[in-house]
Amino acid sequence: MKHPTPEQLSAFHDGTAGASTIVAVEQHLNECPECHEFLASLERQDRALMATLTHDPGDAHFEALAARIEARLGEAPAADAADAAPAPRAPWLGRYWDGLRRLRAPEWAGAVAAVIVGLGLVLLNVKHGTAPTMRSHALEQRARQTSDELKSTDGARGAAPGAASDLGREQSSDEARNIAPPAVAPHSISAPAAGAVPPPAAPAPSAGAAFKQGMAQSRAKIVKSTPTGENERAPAQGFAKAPSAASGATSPAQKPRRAEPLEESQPKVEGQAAPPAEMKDADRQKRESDAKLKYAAGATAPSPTATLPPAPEAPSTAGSKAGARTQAFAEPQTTRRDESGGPQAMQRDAGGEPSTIQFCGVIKNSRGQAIPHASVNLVSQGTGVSSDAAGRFCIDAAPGDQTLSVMAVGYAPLRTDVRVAPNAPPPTLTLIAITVITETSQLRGAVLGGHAQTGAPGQVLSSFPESTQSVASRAIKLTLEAERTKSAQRYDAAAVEWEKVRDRTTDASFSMEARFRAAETRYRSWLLAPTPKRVADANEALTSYLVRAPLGARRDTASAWLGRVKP
Amino acid sequence: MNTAARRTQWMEPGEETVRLRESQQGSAEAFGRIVRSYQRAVYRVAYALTRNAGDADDVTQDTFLRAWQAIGRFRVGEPLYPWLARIAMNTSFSLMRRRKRRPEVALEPMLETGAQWATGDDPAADAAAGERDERLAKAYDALSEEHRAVLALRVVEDLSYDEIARTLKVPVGTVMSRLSRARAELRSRMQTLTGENS
Repeated sequence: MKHPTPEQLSAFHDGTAGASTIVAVEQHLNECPECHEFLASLERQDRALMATLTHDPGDAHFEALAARIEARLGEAPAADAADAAPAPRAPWLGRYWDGLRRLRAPEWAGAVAAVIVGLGLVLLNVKHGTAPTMRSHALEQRARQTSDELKSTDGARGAAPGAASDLGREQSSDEARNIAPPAVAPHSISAPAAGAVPPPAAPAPSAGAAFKQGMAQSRAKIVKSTPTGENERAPAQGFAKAPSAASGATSPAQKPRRAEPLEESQPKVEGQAAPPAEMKDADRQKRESDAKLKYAAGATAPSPTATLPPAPEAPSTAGSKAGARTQAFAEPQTTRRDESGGPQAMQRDAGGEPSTIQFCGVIKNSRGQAIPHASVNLVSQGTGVSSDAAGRFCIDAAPGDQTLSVMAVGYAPLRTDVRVAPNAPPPTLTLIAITVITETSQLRGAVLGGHAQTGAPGQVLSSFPESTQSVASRAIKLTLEAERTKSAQRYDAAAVEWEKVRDRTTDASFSMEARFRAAETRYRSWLLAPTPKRVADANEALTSYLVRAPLGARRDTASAWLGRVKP
Repeated sequence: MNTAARRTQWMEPGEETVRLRESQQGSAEAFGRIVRSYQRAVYRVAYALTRNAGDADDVTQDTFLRAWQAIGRFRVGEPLYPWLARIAMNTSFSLMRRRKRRPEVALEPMLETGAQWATGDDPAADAAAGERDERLAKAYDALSEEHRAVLALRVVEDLSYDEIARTLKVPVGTVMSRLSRARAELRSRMQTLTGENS
């Protein structure tokens, strides 16, 4: 007697066997008690397994779970929903698209090769590549911060090398990878607004110089919004179509545009009077371009005013207010900013007054050392940013009295009232009076032995509970060692320690901190030496952090990291 | 819960398509409807693979967050649940691997019913059943990931071979043979642990 295979009996048990198999097995079962018993054992095993592997926590639990998930959805918009969602296609296009989808690998290879050859031909005919535009407001803001760091001569960065500055550099380079071509960039920066022709004597910028120049322009440009919001819908040409002086071509971005808003939007260079209204656009453009190139190339340290976003006041008052626009971080002050097209572009009310102003400051500790990665939040708005390597921050704030909350784990939280006004003198915020909580902590040596200056995890974990300090100490040491040696393996080891800290602490804030550090170390490990396992680990750690993380810069950073770590 | 009861919780294909398109346009509300329709199914997969209610909660949340972030890449027209189940499965295994441990002992079913803690009509039989369940859980945990996955999808979720194939991204024939081997392996491990068939 020939018995059915276990595979056939398994499929028969599941009701998925073919008709001929069903007939054969049924006949066989009538004659074979052994196979009959085997089938019965499959049934028993499935029933027992079902009971072991199932658990229904009840409707109320799922109601709460759905609410939690929905709350997270609101906080984390679909990363690529808008970009990746297929646009409605015309019927004829649909046919071509369906045809493309049916293409097989060799056909795709041919098509891709043709596109590459085509692009190569185009590039051969273009001497200067287009400089990229920033894809998002956050990206542009980060680029601006990086630009500020380049400009800074106060030595703050030099005094604080290490993790924080590494982070800044890495983010800059990572973000540069995300730069999208202007045609698809949804939030690109507005194009240079004036100048019918490019300055003939301007040096031809390299791609990198053009990028820096573009960043400088993005800071210096301001386009006054009309009540109809016309300029906020300005074409996303940006500095991707920056002047191409060598070719002598007039780029589309330099087409003459409406003069009315431009008269008030020119950056004012320190030491120069505001350009007269009748100044030729080309001259103005040339001088502006020269100043920016000089700044971008770092040939000289320009006065801050030269690169500052000018406020869109009337020309008659702009000059007198130039000082107030200076964006130096020596002490907190306010600046005005506008970014047309960006997701957080300045909104103006019907009267033309801005609804948000950029409010900047610096976070220091009681020793006068900068505190990076501090969380700065505007309580009333519920928005927040994180301080950079030099402890600096800028946040969009509505004019008026605001309550600012500053938190850095390991330091006492600070809550202070500030006045945000466009033309008010820089407020004397006392953001430096943040003290270390655990002066006598066991980790004091590690905390103050240099980590506090670099923003390393030792600083922020100094106040971890006693029960987790030994493992936290190991995690800190491993993280610092990994940062020093740039070793993915050490980052892995550090991540394991952070995960232990996370699992052992019951305090939500410490758990969140450990979760973030675990995610960060997993991400850095992946960055240094990507493997499928590190992809999975980084995804897991970042997602684990993101589903619990509050809104803020850290969350944004982690979200960006998650976007880069593709499973 | 039988198959029919489980699947009534799924979204109708027509509505699913509409909600997916809206979600791809950025509507969190539409995706919320998807969450409510599939969260139990995703939770079941997560619990089957982690056998811990807290972990299953975390995996369910992570699954939907990941799905939301990747919703733009989902091809509307394909069945949604296998995609979600796959994310849940990968997330669960990732969690398990990261912790380098097998699932914790599940207390939830016991706490839920209290039956295991109470004295039944036949205490000896109750104890024997408890031990058998424990051994089965141990044998299941000792299986490879692919065997646990295919058993969870078939036995717990009662997915068809075609749906399992979509979830695991393997041919249907592979599902058939893998499921058979998984059952044989589980049976063998149970015999090793108990000296008898389950």
